[in-house]
Amino acid sequence: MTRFFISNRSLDEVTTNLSKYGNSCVILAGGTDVMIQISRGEIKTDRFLHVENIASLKGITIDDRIRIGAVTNHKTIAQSELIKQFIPSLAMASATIGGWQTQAAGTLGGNICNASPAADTLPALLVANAVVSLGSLGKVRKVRIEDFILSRRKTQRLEDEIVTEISLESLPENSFERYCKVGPRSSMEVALSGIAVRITFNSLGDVSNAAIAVCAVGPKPFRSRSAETELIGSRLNDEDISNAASKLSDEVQPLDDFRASARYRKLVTQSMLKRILEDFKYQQKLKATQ
Amino acid sequence: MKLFINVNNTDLALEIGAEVTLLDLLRENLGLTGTKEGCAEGECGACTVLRDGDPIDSCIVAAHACTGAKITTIEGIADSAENLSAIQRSLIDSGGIQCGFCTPGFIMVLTALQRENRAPSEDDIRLALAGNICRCTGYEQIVDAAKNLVMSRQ
Repeated sequence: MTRFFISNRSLDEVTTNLSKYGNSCVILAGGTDVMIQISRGEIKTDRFLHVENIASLKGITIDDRIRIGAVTNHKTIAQSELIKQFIPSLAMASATIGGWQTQAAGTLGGNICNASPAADTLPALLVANAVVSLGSLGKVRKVRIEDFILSRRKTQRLEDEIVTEISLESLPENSFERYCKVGPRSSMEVALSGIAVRITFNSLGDVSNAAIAVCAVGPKPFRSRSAETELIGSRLNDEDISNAASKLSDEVQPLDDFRASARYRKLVTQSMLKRILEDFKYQQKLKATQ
Repeated sequence: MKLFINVNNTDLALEIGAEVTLLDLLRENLGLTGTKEGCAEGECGACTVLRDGDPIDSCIVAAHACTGAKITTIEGIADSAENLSAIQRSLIDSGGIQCGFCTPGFIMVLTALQRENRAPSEDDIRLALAGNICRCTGYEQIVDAAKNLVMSRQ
C-alpha cells in the first residue's frame, strides 16, 4: 500500500528525495502507466514522488537541438508547431497514444521510462538520435536513447536519477519523416507494429541518410541498421526498397500472441516501410520538379 | 494526508490517502456518483472529468496529483434537469443516449472540445472522442449530437 505522496516543485527537491528513498519510491508523472501497474499489483511502493507540476521539466525549446522537458505531455507535443516542423514523426506518434484523456496526462519522460516494447514515441526518438538527460543530486548524465532502453520495462536509469530532458536532432533540409502504426484501432490500442522513417536526399536526389526504427516487433524498439544501409546512395527504385524491406524483416523478432501472429507483424512492418519509402520518393520528385 | 482541490467551483481541503484515485475521491468521499467507473484502467473513458479544462481518466489519476487543480465533473455541467447544457440537450435530441452509463464521460469530452474549438469538423469530433467507449449507440448519434450543435450555431 502506498502511504506517502510527495508533491515535488523543483528538480532539487526530487533529486534530494531520490537520494534518500531510491527504489523504495516510484516517480509519478501523468500516471497513465504507473497507476494501472499499481492497481494490478505489478509494482508496489511505499511512496510516490509526484513530478508532474515541476515547471522547469516542462516545455519545448530549440537551439542546436530540439529540447523537450521530460514531463511535457503528449498533447502538448502533438500540437507543438516546433515538433510538427522539426520532428514530425514524434508529433504523429504522440497523437496516437491513447485518446485525449491519455494524451493530456501522459508524458514523454514517462513513456520512455515505462520502456514498453510498443511505446509509440520510441521509434520517433530513435530516428531523431534522441539523447536522454538524467539528473541526480548535483549531477547530470547523458545517454543515447538506443542505450537507455535495455529491454522490456528496463532502462539504464539508476535509482537516484530522474529523466529531466530529451534532446533531438531536427529534421535536416531536403528530408522526409513519418510515423506509421498498425492496430485494431488508431487510438486506445497498443500498436501491433509501429515504424518511424527519416530519409534525407542530397542535391542529386540520392538518399544520403536513412534512419528506420520500429516498435512492437521485438523486446524493445530498435533501429534497423541493415535496412538503412541498403538505402544509402539509392534513388529508392523498387529493387532497393524491396531489399531494405527484406533486411528489416530479417531483423524484427515479433511475438505470436492473441493480438496478431508473428508472420502478420513481419509482413505488415515490411509493407509500412515500402509504402512510406514510395511516398517519400514521390514527394521528392514533386519537390525536384517545382 | 491533506489535499487541497477545487471541485465544481468549490474549494475543498480533505484528508485523503496517497493511493486514493480521483474517481474514488469523487464517488466515495464527495458522493458525486455521476462520474462512472467502467474499466478502471484508463481505456473506456466512462470516468472522464476535466482537470484544468482537459479531459482525464479519473480512475488512473491519484487524487493527490490534482493538488491545486480545478476539477469539473458532470455535476458541474448542470445542477438540475432544467439547466442542461447545449451539449446535453443535443445528445437527447439526437438520440445519443441509450443506457446512459458512458454518457457523462462523452459530455465531459464534448464540453472540453467545445471550449477548444467552436466549430469542430466530424474528424475533430471523432478524434476527440477516441478515448470514450459506448456499447449501445454505435457512436453515430453521439457524433450527430456534436455536429448538430455546431450547425445550430451557424
